[in-house]
Amino acid sequence: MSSINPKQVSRIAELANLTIEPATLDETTAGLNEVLTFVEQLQAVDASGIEPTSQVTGLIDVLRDDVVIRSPISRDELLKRSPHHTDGQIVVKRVLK
Amino acid sequence: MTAYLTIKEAREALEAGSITARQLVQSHLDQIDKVDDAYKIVVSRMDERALEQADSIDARRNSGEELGPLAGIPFTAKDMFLIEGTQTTAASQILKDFIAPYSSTAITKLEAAGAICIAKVNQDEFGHGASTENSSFVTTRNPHDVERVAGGSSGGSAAAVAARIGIFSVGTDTGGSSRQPAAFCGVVGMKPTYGLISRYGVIAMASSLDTIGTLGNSVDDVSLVCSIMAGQDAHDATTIKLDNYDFSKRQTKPPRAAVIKQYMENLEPEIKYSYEQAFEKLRQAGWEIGEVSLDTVSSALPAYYILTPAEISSNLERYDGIRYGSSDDAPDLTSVYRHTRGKYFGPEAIRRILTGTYVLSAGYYDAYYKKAMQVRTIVRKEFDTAFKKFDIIIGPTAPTVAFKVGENSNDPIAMYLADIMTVAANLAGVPSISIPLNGPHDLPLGLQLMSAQKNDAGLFSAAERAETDLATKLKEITL
Repeated sequence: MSSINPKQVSRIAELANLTIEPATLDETTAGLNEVLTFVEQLQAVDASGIEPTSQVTGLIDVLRDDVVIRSPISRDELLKRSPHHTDGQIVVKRVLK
Repeated sequence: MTAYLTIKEAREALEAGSITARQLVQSHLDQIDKVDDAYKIVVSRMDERALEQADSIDARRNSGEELGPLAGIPFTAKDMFLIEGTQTTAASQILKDFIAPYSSTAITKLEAAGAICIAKVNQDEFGHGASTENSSFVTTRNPHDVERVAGGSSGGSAAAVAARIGIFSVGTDTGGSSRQPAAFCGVVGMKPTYGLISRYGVIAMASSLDTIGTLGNSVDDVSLVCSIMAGQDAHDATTIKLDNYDFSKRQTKPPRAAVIKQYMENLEPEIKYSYEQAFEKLRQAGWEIGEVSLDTVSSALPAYYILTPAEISSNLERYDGIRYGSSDDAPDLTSVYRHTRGKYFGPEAIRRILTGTYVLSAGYYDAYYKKAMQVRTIVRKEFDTAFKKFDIIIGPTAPTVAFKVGENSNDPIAMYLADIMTVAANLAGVPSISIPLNGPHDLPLGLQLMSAQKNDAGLFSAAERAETDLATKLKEITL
């Protein structure tokens, strides 16, 4: 189960929106296989019927009043951090052809 | 050389008027000039801002105003903490020019108490590592031996405290990132109960495990800083409510303590000897120390290295080259994302994103992610059972002293093993602290103490007692 090939790694990279240089693909694959082999030892633990834990302090459904809270940070201040922006909007490459 | 080791000493001097806040802050800025070429701790300096804040504290003190408990105390922050108007990089090329638009709650609270941030310090990129060798800028050196790492990921914070750059430092701790570097650098490092301190404005690594760490030169200092940052925050829904945030009370009796059996197995003899001597010293000081077996604790590390990459792959999705951060040009939108992320994330961040994406993908989810969450439940329950019988459980913080720079950097698993004794506290959400011990070759080790969730006050009490009873004197660093 734990072995993964360069083709699969390329597919995972696509899913994660990452380019992996072809020259480093084999090295990346080897590193990933080492990690997967390491975590494989979990399969020896019998956890059948055990509830999974995703939150440790027991908080459930933390809600606040359903009111609009204005951000103290201005639109301009946030837009300044975008590499490409104009007229109060972020510019991206054309999506629809 | 900066004259005051602890907050308490510095505060007394400031209150007595034997030093001004400006002089104190300046002396710590001078220390950066003096030692940082050797240790490579600082990512960005905040001289002007810090001196302005110091002048304001001095003026308020002169006018007789009552000041906060940290008035005029210089500190450093791991480069994960947003401070409005200043550079915050997470030691990553993808954020190398990022200027924070707001401040984290933790920093806001420290500044309201009068503390003065003098510099942002180095770390592994996004907290991924145990040595700062994964910083995209520089590797921080251990002030006890510059051939060795400072630990990580909050290695800059631990080295800063050891090298007297700031009197304390704030870091993060997702799997040991404040405690392990504290152990390597001979300082105190603490992770609180999950949710005790707001993470608003602190760059996320693995959200179900991330906590805010504090590093300092004494348990008393760390407990004071932690109590100031603690509390519920509307901006972080995971923050918890405690009845009492004052961690300065100390219990009169030694705690019921137990050594974790599994943590003492497979240690090198000279390391094991150091710990056994420490336990003996505590017994002589009146501690009753039993033994506790946590049968599944050895599975905590593989579970951690499934859960953490899974959460990292999700948390790092936001770095897309569009809204903020570094960006690479490409002919279409998807290629902008892919080239930006491939170019500006370092190798370990990429490894964790890929691992996380894989373990969460259809067909593998049950075998990896769900299984790790189930193991997390078993680990939690073992801790719950242990804390019914004992107040405190103790053991090493890390299995070794600080390793040499480069020793583990080409072997991801060897690097992951540096966290083997710290990750369980994060999986269980319990508070944990590392205090210094003498190790072999004049290098420091850390003694780790853990208590039940929300018993942070009890943990500080026990740790201060251990600090007093052990009276560790590390070999002095030549700065």
